[in-house]
Amino acid sequence: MRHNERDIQFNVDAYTAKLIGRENVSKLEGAVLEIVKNAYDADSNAFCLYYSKSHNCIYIIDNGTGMEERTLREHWMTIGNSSKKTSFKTVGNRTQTGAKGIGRFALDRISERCEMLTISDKGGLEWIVNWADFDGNKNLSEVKARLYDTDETLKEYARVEFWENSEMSSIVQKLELNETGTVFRLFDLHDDWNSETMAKLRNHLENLLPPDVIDDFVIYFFDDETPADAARIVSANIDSYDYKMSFEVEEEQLRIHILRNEFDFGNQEEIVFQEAGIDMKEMPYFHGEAKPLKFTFNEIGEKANLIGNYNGVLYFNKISATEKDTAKFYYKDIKGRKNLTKEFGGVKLYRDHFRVRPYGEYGDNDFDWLELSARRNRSPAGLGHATGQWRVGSEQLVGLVNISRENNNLEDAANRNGIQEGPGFEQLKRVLITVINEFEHDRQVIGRKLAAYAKVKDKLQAELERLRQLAEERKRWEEEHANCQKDTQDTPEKDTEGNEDDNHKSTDEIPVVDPKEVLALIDSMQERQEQELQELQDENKMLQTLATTGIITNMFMHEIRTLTNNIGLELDSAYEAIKYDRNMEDAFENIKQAIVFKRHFASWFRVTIESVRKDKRQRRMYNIKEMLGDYINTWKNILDKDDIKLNMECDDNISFKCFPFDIENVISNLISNSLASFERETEKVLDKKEINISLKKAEDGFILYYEDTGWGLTPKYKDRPEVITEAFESDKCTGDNEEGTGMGMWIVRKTALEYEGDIDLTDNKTIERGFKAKISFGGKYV
Amino acid sequence: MYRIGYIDDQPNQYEIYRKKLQRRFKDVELILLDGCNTKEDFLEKIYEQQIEVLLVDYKMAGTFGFNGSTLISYINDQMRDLECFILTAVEQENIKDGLVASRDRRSKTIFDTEGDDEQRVNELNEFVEILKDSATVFRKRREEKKEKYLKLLEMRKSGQLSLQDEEEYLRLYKVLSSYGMIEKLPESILTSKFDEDLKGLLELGEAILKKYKE
Repeated sequence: MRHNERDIQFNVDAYTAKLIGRENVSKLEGAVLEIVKNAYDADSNAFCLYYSKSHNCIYIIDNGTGMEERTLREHWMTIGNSSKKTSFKTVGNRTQTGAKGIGRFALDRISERCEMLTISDKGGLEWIVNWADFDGNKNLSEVKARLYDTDETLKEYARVEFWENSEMSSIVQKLELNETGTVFRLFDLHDDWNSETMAKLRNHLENLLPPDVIDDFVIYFFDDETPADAARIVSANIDSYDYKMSFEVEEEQLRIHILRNEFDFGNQEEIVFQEAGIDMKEMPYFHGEAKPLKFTFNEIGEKANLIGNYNGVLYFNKISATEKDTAKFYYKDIKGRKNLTKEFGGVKLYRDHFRVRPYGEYGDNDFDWLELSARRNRSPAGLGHATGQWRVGSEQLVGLVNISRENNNLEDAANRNGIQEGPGFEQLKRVLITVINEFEHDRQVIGRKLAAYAKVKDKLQAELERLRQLAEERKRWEEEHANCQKDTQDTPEKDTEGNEDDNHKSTDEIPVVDPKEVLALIDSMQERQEQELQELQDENKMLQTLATTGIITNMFMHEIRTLTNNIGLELDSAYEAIKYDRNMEDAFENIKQAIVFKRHFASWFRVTIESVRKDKRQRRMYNIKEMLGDYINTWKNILDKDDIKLNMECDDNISFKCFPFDIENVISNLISNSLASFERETEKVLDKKEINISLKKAEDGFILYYEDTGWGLTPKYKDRPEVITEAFESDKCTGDNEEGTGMGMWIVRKTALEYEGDIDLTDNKTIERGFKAKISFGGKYV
Repeated sequence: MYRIGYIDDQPNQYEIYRKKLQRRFKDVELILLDGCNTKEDFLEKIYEQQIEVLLVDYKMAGTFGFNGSTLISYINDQMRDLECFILTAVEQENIKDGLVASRDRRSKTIFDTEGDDEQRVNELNEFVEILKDSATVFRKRREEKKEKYLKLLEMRKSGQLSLQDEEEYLRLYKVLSSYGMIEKLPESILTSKFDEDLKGLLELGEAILKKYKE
């Protein structure tokens, strides 16, 4: 029998409340995200997070609507009670992004102590909490935060004027922070906010907002040293792609727009279309017009739309393509393209403009949440495969899918890490795969036609195939014929009759290979091989040049390093002259000297790394004197600093077809050897350091005469100087790191040989000191 | 004051190094040893400037015919106690002639504190402490040498010097007198032959006197 009825209250231990918060916001990135969301939901258009090393605290500022005391008491101070639970839209018509009423625990995740100024239309309030008060055996209601009325402004409270980062201080002072908004000051930080943490958070924020979507919300994220241009968070963006698929789901309909940006038929477009059998109606879709597709949910095998309206955009990017495929499929040039997924992530999910992690996060288990890799493994066919289905790889697809809190069946997982698994999420994945299927189909229809066309187009291949078949037929006929003859010999009585049939077979029917056709085919094959060989040689040359640049840069590392050291020293010295001596005159001299060193540095740059500049990689006819003018002058300036004289004479009328970098590399290699010789440790001092270069016209090219006044070849090479042109032979033995790569003279000779020339070093056998070389280009004149 | 010698065939940066040390270490003086062409010249200059620890640029063969490490090897043959450090623009480990221990090699960037960068300043401070320590050791050893020299001098007076002792005596005399620790004498009077000649001369004098008295 009941008696003495009374109510008994549930109590929450304060520490447990804190733990619940911690559970929900376990990572620093998540905590920062929550705070950014709060600012966004408060209709602010600017958000700043400044980590001040000098103040050892974090300032967070937004210019949103702020909170009045009632909101602060009923919502901010009531754990789990969010004003955003019931009303999705803000006054500024933004869809609110938070909902659980635990965003404030993000602050606890970041620091031990938190002070907040929030200014609403009703005035300013200062709120201070020490999260340590939540520890110990207290009930939640026993933990108090302090609240004050205040007339401080946002900028005053954030001490903007006193920021160490003065550049950002002046930018933030100019922001509209005059009326409502919120400022947090966070002390006793839980994490080490070093450059690594900053970089991680920056990347996180860059991917937080979808590209080109939000233009009314600016995020600044910086520390004491961040320059202004780096402080503003710019969304990671995609500027090059092969295919773009935008899609939208509206009620029971899926619309897809496919934009092709992968193919370039040049001026052969019409011919290719005709011959490959591509429908002419498709032409606009190769020129920037998106191909529209429309499906009902029934058509894509779904009974009903479980989620509501959403949209997205996906980009397909090849990471690499062979030259053969590029030619076959008329691909646009993708040289130098990066793997975008590393930077941008894969297919990412955004809810009301904010990233839902971890989908598409590179390196995370959920990077490939649509299981594209498994799909591709099941069907690994190439694009041109006649029957097999080509499937996109997970690292070839980037993009974003925009969902909203207004969608159904796509709730956040309780730990704020992703979306709750369920029918809604499964349907979302299926719809995305449908979009991807349509893109793959579109691409493969074209790919198959182009692959088939490539086969037909390759006449040489067709001719080869025809003759091969003919040869096989002939072989078979000869075998059969031989068998017949053998049978005839074995059974002479059948001979006459047997021969009737076979030997009287009309000559037209006997498979015959025409020797002229064979010769023509061989010629064509040879021509093609030569062409391919030439392409390979050109590629090899490019690689050789890159190697030479490396070698030459390495050879002159001492000089380059000395200059960079000196520039640093002069600047440091100027800094100290001002800081410690207040001596502007000295500082000025140091800076002037740094500028001189910088100029020297530019000269070194010019003769080393710049030798692979694009315009030097074009083989054409050059006037050698003009071609080398600037280059030799730069060398003269460099050598002059070390009292080395460079003399150059060149005939005016040498016209020669070459890559400029080839000739420059030969000269750089020779000069490098001379410099090493001048600096060789011999216990003696050279009377003079001089390099003489003379270029004389020859019949189809020119001869380069080179000599220096150095110590000459070492005894190892003196009697057999030609040995030094072998790979890995080095005469440099200064004891420094410049022991020589043993490639310099090898490259010189190889280059000369490539230009039908040669190198002659015999003079070195007889001269007592110094080095001499005669190198011919365009003919073996030496 | 610690006296640090500095040798470089292109001493463009000497003033910067000197000022930097002067600002930060009042008890340290960086002294440029210039006007020399041979290893012997440099040795004389070291004595002349009473250098207690030495910094030498590595790459100098283009100007002098020898590199810094060869010069250090020569100097240490003559002055075992003078600690020498090699300075180089390239990474220190790239010097492969094996003439200077890796602990005695430094990059010239040691003098670049990059606008008071804490780590760079610490590195410079540590290096200067090592230099001061080396100079202190050098001083201490000089004192020891002086004692040894005085002992040899006594033995010499009593005619007890072996040929080996004689060489050591002369070497010590050269170092100590160069550093002003003992009185400098004309080189000719330091040899035993001089003593013998003097002895002979005195005997001759005595004989003359004796004869005169008779």
